[in-house]
Amino acid sequence: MSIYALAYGIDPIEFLVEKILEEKEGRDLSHITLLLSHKRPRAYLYESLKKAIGSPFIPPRVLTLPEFVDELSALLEKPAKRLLGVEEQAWLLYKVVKRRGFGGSISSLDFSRFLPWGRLMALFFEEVELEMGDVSSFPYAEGGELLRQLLEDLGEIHRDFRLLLEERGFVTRGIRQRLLAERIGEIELEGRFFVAGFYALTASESRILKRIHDFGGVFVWEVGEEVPRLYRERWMEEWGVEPEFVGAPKEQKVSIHAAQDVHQEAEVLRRLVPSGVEDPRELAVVVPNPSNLIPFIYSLPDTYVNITAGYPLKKTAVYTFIELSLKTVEEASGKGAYPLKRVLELLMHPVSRLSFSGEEVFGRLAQAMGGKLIPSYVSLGELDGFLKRLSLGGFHGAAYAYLRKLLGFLGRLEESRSLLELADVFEGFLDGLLERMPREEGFSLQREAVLRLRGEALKRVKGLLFSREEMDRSSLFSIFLHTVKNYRIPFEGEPLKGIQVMGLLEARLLTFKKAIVLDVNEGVLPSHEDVNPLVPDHLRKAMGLSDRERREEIIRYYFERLVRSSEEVHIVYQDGVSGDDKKVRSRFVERIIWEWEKKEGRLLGDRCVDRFGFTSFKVDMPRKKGIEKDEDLKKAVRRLIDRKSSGEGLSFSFLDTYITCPVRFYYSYVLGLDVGELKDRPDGGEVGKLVHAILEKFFRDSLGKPFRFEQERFKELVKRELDGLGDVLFPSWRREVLEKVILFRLEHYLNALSKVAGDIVVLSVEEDVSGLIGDYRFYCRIDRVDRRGDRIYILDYKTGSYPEKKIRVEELMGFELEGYGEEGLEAIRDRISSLQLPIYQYVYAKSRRLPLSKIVSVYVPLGDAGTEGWEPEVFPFSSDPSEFLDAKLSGIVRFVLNHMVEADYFYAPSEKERARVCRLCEFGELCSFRF
Amino acid sequence: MPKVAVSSKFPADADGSRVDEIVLGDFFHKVLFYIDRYTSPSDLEDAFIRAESAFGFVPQGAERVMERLKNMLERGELLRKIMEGRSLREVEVVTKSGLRRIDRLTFINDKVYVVDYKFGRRKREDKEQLEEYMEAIKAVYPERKVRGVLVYVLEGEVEEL
Repeated sequence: MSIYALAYGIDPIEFLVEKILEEKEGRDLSHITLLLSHKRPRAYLYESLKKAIGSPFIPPRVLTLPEFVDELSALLEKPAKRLLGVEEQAWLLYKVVKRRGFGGSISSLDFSRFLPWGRLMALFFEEVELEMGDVSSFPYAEGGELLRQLLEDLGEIHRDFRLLLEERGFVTRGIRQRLLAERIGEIELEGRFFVAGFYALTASESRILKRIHDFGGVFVWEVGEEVPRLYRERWMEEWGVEPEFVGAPKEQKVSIHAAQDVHQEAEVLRRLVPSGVEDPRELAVVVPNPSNLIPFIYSLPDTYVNITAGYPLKKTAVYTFIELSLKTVEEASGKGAYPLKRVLELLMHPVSRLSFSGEEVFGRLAQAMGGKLIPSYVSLGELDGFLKRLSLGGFHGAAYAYLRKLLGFLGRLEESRSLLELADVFEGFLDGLLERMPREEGFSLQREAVLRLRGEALKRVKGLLFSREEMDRSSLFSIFLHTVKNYRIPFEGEPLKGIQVMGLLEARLLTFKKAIVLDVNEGVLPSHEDVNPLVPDHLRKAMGLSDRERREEIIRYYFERLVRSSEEVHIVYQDGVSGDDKKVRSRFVERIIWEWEKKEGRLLGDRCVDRFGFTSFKVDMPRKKGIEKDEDLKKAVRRLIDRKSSGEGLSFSFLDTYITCPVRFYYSYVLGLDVGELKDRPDGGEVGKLVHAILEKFFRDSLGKPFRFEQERFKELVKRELDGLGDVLFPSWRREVLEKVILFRLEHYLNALSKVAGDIVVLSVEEDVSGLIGDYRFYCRIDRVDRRGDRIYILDYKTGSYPEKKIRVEELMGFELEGYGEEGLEAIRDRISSLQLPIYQYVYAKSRRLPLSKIVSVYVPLGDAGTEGWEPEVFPFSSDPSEFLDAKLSGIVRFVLNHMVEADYFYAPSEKERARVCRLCEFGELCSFRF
Repeated sequence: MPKVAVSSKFPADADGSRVDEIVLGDFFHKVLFYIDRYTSPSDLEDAFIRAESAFGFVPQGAERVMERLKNMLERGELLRKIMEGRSLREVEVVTKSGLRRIDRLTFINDKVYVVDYKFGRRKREDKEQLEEYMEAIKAVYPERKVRGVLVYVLEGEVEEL
């Protein structure tokens, strides 16, 4: 028999050991080759063989399929060819497209702008090779101009790409595997083969494994009551083989647990894990999302733990330091002058704190800078003068020495022109870091990350085909980060002992007494997938490539085999709310519950889910109130308010920031550390700016005239604005998606606006207005002002969230302001979520000498367009606010400003507020008050 | 706190230059692994390209080591004999004290050569380690004579035990 279909629960490794022992002749088993889906089962196999044979012995060769392909291809590939990674393939594709002018406007892009397209093309070509198909052009393809031109030339690009690879002595993994599949009949195989752990096969894999089957190889499957579809189709129907079924699925105990968030999940894990686990077959903790690995590890008991998973480098401190240092250089103003706020962030960073006593430097500098006028940029030339102005006394020398070193490092990054030079600078930095990092006893993730970065990831950057090419700074940095951030630290648990922590794919072929599967949520199992803008799923399916449905089926199989192979299984998911996101349990969990319901003949709902009573779980930890103020700091805040009020004016966000979180106010306004929007992805902030710019231009052309929605003019304007964007921030394929989203949302709004009864006359856009509220001057930038009938409308566009809680005017009329403690501020926060529109309405009315009752201020929530019952304008007040604004606003403003000065602390948000406030805070993990 | 046991190719106390040494050694172990039966210098060049493909880069100092290896294969009779013979490469051996990996086992007539490549300086432990490997191999092939060979690539020397 050549294929054994083992029932779930029968240990495939033990089964293989039995079969191997039947082939044993002496103590050298190297004539046997095991082809396994991955390496981890090897350790289990050796342990079992050792028990059966005794030591010493030479075990069978254990190879993964790529290793086997490389080994056999060496017999066919003469001379040897250099294997290229995806980025390098994108580089060659760039050469192809440039040389022949393929793809229309895509051929005029520089490499950094081409790279996202190049990667997509390279990955697509690889898939086609693995499926042994052909790449054709797609005439009359759908999509934007750039995509259409690219797809029309795709067949020719692929042909030229193959020629260039051949000419330069390169190969890709897909091409190598395909060539082997085509010629495997020419190779003389030797020895005995066992194959296990494979489920779905590509066409080339199928051909290679079929050859092994025909050579007498023994295959092992794992199945339930029915043979899974992909085994049936590819192996039974296409190969024409029938498996021999071994055993029947065993009884098992499955429990489902719900947790609010990752911290509760870790607590669930802590309760489920017994102490004293030594046998590596006893307990597996499966972590499908390796980003959550660390909190789970820390909740395990004091025993041996093997980790087998790829941990993303981008989740480590050293990576975030690299990212921040490049951001600092990118924002340099001229040569060698770096934004002080970024330099201070670098000082606050754990990597600085770890190795250079940065925390002390930061603390002393922050204290000395409090309330002083500080420069926006700092350079080596001006460093001494800057520090002298801070009067650091005996600390001056230490601060100067450290900052000089840091600025020197940033200077070397700035001078780098190629990936090779940039990687050299970081290598030097990491060498210094390795010398200073404490050498902890036992495992240290952070040190391992530095060693892997130094010994592998940076060397791979240096080894890229284009590492010596000179590039502009922005391209250089974005390509560098992109390459490094995809690196995963490959953990393999050794020696085999204790609790096994692993990813889902690493658990294939392994059987445990007890398995705990964490993060079984939608977006993780199955994972979230971005839409492929190059070749969407319907085209992929037509070409015989895997579509979303098939990929999900594969993951479902591996999940099912894991769950059904263990005697006791615990499935844990999150169902808490984080900001606007509600976590949803996986469809795989729903399926299990559905199976239970069918069996019981009734709906079970959440009765079958164990919550551990965690809804009332609470840890009482002493909470720091916030940042304490001394008299000097209070004076500094007063000076800051006076300076702003007598200058350009105070802003609503100055007050709103304080009301929301005084600690954040301290970082942003008192220390001047306002880090602004993240610039490495088109997030809400950047998209928001774009939407504002489009609407400003659109309405500016029709100022003073009754509004009519000219759709064609609007479409042209959107296209023009998007075309003018940089490709690093908005890669061209994302721009196409963005164009659709923006058109959908804004057209919806503008259509709704055109249907409003009566004429709308736009009076101004992006209008600056200033005026006094009590004794303080405020300035406002109003997105748009309309005249509608006898009323003036002040409109503020919101692309993200907006304060949905209305200001309850009636209640506020009788509201008494309390003292300058935490409670006083909370009382304001409970009643007013934002002072923006009250301030706008008041200042506009006063500056135009209009009665407050003639003005209406509203939010325009553009992000929610398309939903049922969408309303284009949202009033922030529960009723006419004119009396309240007249009588109370100046008192509230004065109270908040006085609170900033007089309160003894910049208070940190209360425990109940933290999840909401800290989630989107730009200071993130740098803030010691964060949850 | 759990005791995390994971394998790492870099010792926790390694500094930058030690990391480079380890990477260079690993790279050339891979180069020599890719040579099945040596017939001409082009086998070494092919193996180098395969190692470059596996690592994704060529480490610093690789040219110097390649030159040294070429010379050794051209002039060193024993090394050449070992590289030309039927062999098993990167052989794992399960012993009482754990898993050991032998760089190369070459079978010539009734002898089996246990080969260990070294890319650092000579150390007393080198011989001890090789003797442990030889002991294990004697138990696996009791009918064969077992010889040990240490190949000091950077020194260009081959030592037979």
